[in-house]
Amino acid sequence: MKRERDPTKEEFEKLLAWFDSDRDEAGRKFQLTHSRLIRVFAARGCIGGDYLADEVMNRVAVRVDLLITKYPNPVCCCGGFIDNVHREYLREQRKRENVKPLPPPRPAEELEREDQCLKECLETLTKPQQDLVKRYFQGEKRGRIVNRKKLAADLALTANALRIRAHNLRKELHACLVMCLSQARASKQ
Amino acid sequence: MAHNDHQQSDARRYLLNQLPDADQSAFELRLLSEDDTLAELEIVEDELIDEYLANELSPDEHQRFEEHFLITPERENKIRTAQALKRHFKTVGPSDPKPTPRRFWLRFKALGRLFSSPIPAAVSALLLVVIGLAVWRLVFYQSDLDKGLVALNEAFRQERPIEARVTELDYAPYNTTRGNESRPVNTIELSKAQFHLLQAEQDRRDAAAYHALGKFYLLQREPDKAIQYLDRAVRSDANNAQVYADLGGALLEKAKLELDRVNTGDGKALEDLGRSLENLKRALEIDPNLLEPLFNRALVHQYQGLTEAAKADWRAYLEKDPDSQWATEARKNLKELDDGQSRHSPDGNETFDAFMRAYKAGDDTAAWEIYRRSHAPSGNDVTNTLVDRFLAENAGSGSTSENLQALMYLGQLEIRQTNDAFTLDLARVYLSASPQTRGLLITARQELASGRNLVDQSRIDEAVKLFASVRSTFEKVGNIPELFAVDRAMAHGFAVQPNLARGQEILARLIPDCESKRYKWLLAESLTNRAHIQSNLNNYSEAINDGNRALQLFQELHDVRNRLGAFLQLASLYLFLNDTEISFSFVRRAMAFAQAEGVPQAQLWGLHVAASLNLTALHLYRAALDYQTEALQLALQSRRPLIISRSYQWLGLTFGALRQFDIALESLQNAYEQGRSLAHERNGQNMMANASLKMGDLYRLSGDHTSAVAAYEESLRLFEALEFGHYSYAAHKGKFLAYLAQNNDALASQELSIVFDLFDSYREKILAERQKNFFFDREQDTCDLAIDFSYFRLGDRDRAFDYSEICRARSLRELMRRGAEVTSGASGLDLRSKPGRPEDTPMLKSFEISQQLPEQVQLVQFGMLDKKLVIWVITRASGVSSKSIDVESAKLTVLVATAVRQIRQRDEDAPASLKALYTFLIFPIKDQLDQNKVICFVPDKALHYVPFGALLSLTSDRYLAEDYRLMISPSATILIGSSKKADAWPAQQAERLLAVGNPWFERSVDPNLSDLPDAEREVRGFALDYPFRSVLVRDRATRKAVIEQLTSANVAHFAAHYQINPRSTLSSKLLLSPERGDRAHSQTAGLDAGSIYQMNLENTKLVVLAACQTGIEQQFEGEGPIGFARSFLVAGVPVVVASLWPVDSDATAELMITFHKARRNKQMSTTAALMHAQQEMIARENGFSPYYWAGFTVIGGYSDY
Repeated sequence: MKRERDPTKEEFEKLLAWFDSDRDEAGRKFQLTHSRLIRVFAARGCIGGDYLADEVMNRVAVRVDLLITKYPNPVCCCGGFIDNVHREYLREQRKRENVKPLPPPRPAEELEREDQCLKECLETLTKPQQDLVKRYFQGEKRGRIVNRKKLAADLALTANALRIRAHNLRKELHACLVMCLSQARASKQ
Repeated sequence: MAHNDHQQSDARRYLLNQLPDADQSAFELRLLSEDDTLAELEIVEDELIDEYLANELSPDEHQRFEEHFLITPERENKIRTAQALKRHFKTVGPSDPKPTPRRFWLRFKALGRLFSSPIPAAVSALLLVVIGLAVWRLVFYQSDLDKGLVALNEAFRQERPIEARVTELDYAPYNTTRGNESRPVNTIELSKAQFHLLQAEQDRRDAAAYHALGKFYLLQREPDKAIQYLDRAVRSDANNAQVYADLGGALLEKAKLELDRVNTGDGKALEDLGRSLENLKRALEIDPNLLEPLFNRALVHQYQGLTEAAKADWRAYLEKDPDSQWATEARKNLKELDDGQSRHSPDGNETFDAFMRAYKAGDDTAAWEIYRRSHAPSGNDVTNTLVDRFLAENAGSGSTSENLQALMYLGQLEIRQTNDAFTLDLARVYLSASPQTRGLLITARQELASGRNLVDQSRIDEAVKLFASVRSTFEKVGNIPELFAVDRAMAHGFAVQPNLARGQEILARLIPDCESKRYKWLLAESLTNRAHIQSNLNNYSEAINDGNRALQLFQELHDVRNRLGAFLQLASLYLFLNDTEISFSFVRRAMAFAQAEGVPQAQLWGLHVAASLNLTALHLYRAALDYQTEALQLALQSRRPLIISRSYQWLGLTFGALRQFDIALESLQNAYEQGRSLAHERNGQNMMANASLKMGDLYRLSGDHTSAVAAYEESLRLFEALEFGHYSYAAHKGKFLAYLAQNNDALASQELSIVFDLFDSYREKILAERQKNFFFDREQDTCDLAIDFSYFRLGDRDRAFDYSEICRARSLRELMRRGAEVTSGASGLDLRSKPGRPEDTPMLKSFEISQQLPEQVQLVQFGMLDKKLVIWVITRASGVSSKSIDVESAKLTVLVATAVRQIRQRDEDAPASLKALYTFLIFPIKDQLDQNKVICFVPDKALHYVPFGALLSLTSDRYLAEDYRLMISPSATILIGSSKKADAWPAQQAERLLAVGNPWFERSVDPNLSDLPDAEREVRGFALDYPFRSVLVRDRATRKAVIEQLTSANVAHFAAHYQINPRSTLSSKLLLSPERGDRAHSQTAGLDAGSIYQMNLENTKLVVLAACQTGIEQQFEGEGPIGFARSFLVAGVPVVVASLWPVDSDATAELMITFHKARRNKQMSTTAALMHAQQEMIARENGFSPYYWAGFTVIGGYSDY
């Protein structure tokens, strides 16, 4: 991909000011947009979303003088740049003809380690949280749907609120699991 | 809820890549701006993962999930979590999990407990992720980059393969062996390093990854690749000292490889050393304590021959790093430098004694070796000592003096070695000298020595008086050899004074006299002086001829010191012509020669100056500064005012370029003061005038235009008093620029006309085409300023056009009018027009062009200025009109390069670039263009590369070639001239065709060149449409046969390989078949541009060059494109069809067959036939990419045929 030049300090400052006149708020919005761009590229199936998000932000920044006259805020003008960067990314991928191999099956030892870590992580939750997780993830297909409806009713939550709560707990568990596994790996070495 | 469902569905479809493009964009906009959408997306991601693992996705969704979703490492991790959850709840069941021992990391959990509601919990979770990852990254995680760098260090732990220090690489001793000897490298670690660093580069594409890969290639001794990656790293992170340090190291290693090559004539090594130093200094500006650039800077200085600077660097290094193993290497290098300098150089007496010993022993070899190393500006030291000692002897001693016998021996030795008769004649003079004569000679020789000392002190008026007295003594006693020597000394004095007329006068008689007497050394010295004078009269071609002759003679004479001087004189002459490539090659030769011959430091002032000026010309100011500093030290030691003044002057200019104005001004004032202390002398006034001129430049650069004008005026006044016009152009140009900045239009106008007169006078004096092109390439800014000033400031658009026209393709116009001859000199082949007067090649003004333009043509001429593009449109009916567009020339240049690259790569983004170009080049004048007329473009600068036919209309999406007949011409005047030539041919005529296709050629010329069966098909495909034809294919297409038939052909078509010679466009050639039985010369068989330039092709009305890149090989700012097509225009062909890039053989065959058939069978003109052929390719199903058809264009004049 042809990399855009880095924005000048002046261009970058202009971009921040365009996000928000308050510099701290502008910084926050910039970070937020950047992290969302990473998600966009991930959703589009790109590896290295961080780099691609940088590229989009760079492209917006170096054209800030022009864009500022046409768009109400920086987010609105990202679409075209996302498309271009994505297209260039795809072209490059085609050139590289990268075929990502399927990951090899993981050894039993590793799975055991994961299971042990998950147990430990579940213990870090409060009792009601553990219960929610347990009930939310149990069952298959139809059974699971029924479970969740009942759970929502028991907790006096809408289905969507339950989804959000479960998702947040899952995120917490995920973070815990990653940490635990790295610790386990390190102590093994 | 409905909204939620909708959002959920969109998120799901989005993640599975099922949304239409428009919905996808809308969703992404929401994702970027709405928190809810982002949250929803994350939840749906989890749900999709669960469904995938539970095998609940539909087959289509399953496939999309694996192809599209399951691609990032982050998501793979999430899947592992989901799998773990799934396994857990399958095995554990509904009961509570058993308590398990806690680990320290669970202490972070306390943070999570702070939040109990879902939202803070989410925040806490996120925080934990961040903290967790941070800990993991800090303590345990090793990225590919880290792994690669560790492996790289391991790989070279035993021994390092390059001399330069690489950042963050542990010490290992340097292996000095060359070639393919096996090196103790840990190949496993090296492979690991390569794998990880390539992976890191692919994943990260940031400065760190490029930097690491650059280091890898540097250690692999692949400096070119290393430089490529390190350049990228610099572009990504412009303030990283380590990257600059390693880039400097890579350039050093590259330069070393170049220095190792046998051919020392290439100056690239010095350029790379300069670039290396520039980067190392940048590194040290950012981080003065970084050890690697300090270490490498010392190495670069060593290789540059800057001994003092290298020693200072090593000492500076050892202060910062006194104890490491690197320090041991530094000490070793420092010691070698000290030892090298303390080597004993014999003084004059020791040398003389050694000579006498050799003479007495009859050792001719030793005697000659001492003699040839004893040449000095005042003659030969051994010869002079012999004469002086002879004269000091008692005149009445009777027997022949030993000194005189030795002088006779030396004279005979010199005759045997070089056939130079000077010393033998001198010995004869002294042999026959009476005692009275000897007395006169003693006085004369003493005065001669005093005169030479005075010249060194820049007291030339006094010196000349002494020389005149000496001259009359030598004349009176009949001492012809020394009479010539004193004449030479006077000529030298006048040359540097400057009193050019008197210098010329002396040399005009001295040079033929030396030739007739076979005084070769004196002849070479005289030629050097004449070259100096010629260059000051701006007669560069003559100066270069004399310089080359002098060099040749000094080589024959094995004169060490003057041979070095001759190299440097040529370097300086080529530098003035802006030809840094050749200039640097002479500096390189001088440097290699000085090293090989052990020339003492004190004699290296000229070498340092020449190197510094070349680096300055390449804008490598930091690197130039070190040479200048060392040159100034040598100048101060010499106590010669002229070279001290010059040294300060160049130092000042370099500081100015680095925008250190205070020190720059101080240096220039020192330069001026050297002259002022000798203000009564012409030489002193010359120094003051020079320094004033440079002060003018400095003031202008600093924005003080009033002081600049004053300094330029003082310079001009002083130069005028000296009748020395060499720098008038520079001073008037400076004044013009200063007035321009002051908005003083009246005075700017006045200066501009003076500048242009001087500009023109230079053109007449520079004869060789390469010299002209390089010189005017640099000076094109004068033309651009004139156009800009006339157009925008004075509002005189016609005058602006005239300036545009006057600067364009001037050499080509001269060659076309006067004819060309190819000359061969020390710098290779060159081209020059036959002698003539300026009025032989008149330049048409805008109104004349409008009057003489063919009715069927509309002329579109571009002027690419720094920040604007001017477009003139001229027709016979409407006269001249113009438009200007605000666009930077740099931007347009990049756009053209991008478009051409995209076309050549069949890139899908090419249409966007072609539309952008259309916006700049066509859209502003679109309404003025008439579809019934041919558009003749006269491009400027980078626009010469534009395939105009491929420009895409913004509104209709049609190529320009679909709507207009197109052609290009190097200038409007050439268009008129060539059109008139074409007009002399009847439109319908029984044309005689010469068609050359697929000549057999020796494959070893270039194994990559393929056989061209399509080229044979091509010529056979249309040849029958011509009533008279000669088709030469395969081994019948020999140079002899082609040349024989070309002169009588009306239409010539070449379908063959065209091989570009990057060193000389005159040697670029169409590959042809060797004569039968002449395989010995098969590699050289071909039709070269140099031969075509000299041919008379007045019977040929059209040439088609259906080969690769026949239209443009090189492009000069003023002169425009240089390519094979140009040689045919000079040979008298009015219309040429040529290509802009390497073309596709098969498609070209199609295009050309259609083109010729349209010409012959549909009676179309050349432009119409090409348009027709191109349109046919565009109209094919799926349309041919412009790559296949847009490269070809009609060049020269308009024709009805």
